[in-house]
Amino acid sequence: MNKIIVKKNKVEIDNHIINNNKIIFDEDKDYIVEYENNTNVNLNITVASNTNINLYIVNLDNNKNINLNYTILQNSNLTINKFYYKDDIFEEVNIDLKGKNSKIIYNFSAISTDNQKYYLKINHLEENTKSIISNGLVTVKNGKIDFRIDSIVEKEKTKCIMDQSTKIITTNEVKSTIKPNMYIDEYDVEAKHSSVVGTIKEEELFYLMSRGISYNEAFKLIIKGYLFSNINKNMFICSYILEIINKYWR
Amino acid sequence: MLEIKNLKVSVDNKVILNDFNLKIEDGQICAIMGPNGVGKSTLSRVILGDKNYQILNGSIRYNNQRIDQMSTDERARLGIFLAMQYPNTIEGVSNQDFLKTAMESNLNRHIGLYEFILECEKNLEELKMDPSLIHRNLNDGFSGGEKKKNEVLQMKLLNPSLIILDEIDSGLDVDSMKIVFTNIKKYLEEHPKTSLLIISHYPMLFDYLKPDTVNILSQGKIIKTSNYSLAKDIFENGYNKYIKALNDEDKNE
Repeated sequence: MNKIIVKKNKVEIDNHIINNNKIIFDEDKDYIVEYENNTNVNLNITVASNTNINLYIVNLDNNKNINLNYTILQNSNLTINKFYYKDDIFEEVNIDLKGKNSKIIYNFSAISTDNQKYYLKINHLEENTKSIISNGLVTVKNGKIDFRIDSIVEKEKTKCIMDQSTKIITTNEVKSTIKPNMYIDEYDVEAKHSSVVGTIKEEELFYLMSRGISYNEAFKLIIKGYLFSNINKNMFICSYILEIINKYWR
Repeated sequence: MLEIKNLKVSVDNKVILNDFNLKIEDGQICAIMGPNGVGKSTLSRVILGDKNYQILNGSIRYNNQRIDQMSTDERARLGIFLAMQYPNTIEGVSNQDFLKTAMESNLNRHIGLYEFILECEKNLEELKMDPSLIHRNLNDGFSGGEKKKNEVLQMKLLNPSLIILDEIDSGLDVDSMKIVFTNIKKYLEEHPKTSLLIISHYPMLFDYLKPDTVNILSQGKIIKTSNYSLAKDIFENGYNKYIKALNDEDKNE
């Protein structure tokens, strides 16, 4: 798999620095994106017409401010599988579905140990565009997540499909929030959304424990299942996620 | 042996069980019957230590060991298994992961994937379950019958010495009922010391698993204990005469 490294606020692909952090993908490929020693990340990605791209993004580094802009052109698909495990992040992601029949699938999982703020904005700028957004996040220790998500369809951009789902499981007493918005200025649209902030259900823990599974092991099974179900199970980071889960719920 | 003495249980400040006594010997089949809402399911969950229920008085012993202060998983690892009326669906947790973890917790050792698959395949076949259910999320999208079969699959894999069946027959069609009951019966034949506590309203289950004792639960306690003939009388005539007799007794006192 090809690798994109965002290092000291510069973007490298195969050891080549990319000018102005602007990447244009014009052939079908899968990429791993990794962050190293950044303070402010700015990245602009364009998926050219008739192109299918899979991005596997991992952030285990201390990146304070992240700004990502995606532009998807006609008949193109972008699938993002993304996992973050760090404290103190502020991230803004802007996704422009700029071409007809363009599509974004966005699966994001995160474990938060401190303040994390996310603002995800999806703009349906053309007809027949589709966004399927699934965010599954967990807070541990002093973790706090504030998540805002806006899906926008402009007038006369018909036959758009938008699906946004955001869930935060809190394992501490700190208050996390989700602000889900859908701004739709067109009748001919399919829209679906769900947002949940809550703890693990006692009933689920009881069920697992009634089979002899200890409290910690039951907790771990549920968190693991929750995080894994939200990202591609083949994602290379799965073993690392397991390590983190084992660290907190041993 | 399960022994419950003078048990008083409340939920949300409402007393559900009061002065409840029950003893089930090794290898015995015991039935608890009673109208809806008298606390039959509460009893099953209290035995397993559901934190929603508060024990105000009394004790629960299993094999002469007091268990009412133990956690749910500790009780389960002693060999108590509850087949639930409404098994939970847990998003993201695969049935395979769950079953393997449960087996490892009970056996206190690692189980290799090959050993696990062999054990599962045999039992899936006996329960006439679709093998793909193992790879699905726990009870997610399972039909009512599939959920109940999955409960019995867990029972067979975990080798309990006390099985509590909380309305295992609800949600099952006639063919599935036969499969489920036959599997439980076979398990009991293979494990003659295993005790069974049945909570049910339906006669068909008793045809397969004939109880040694039948108890009527009402107003938080056992009001009548007898043999299988009591179940037959209830199926034919209902609970009214037994409840009326208790009420008359209370009035006279």
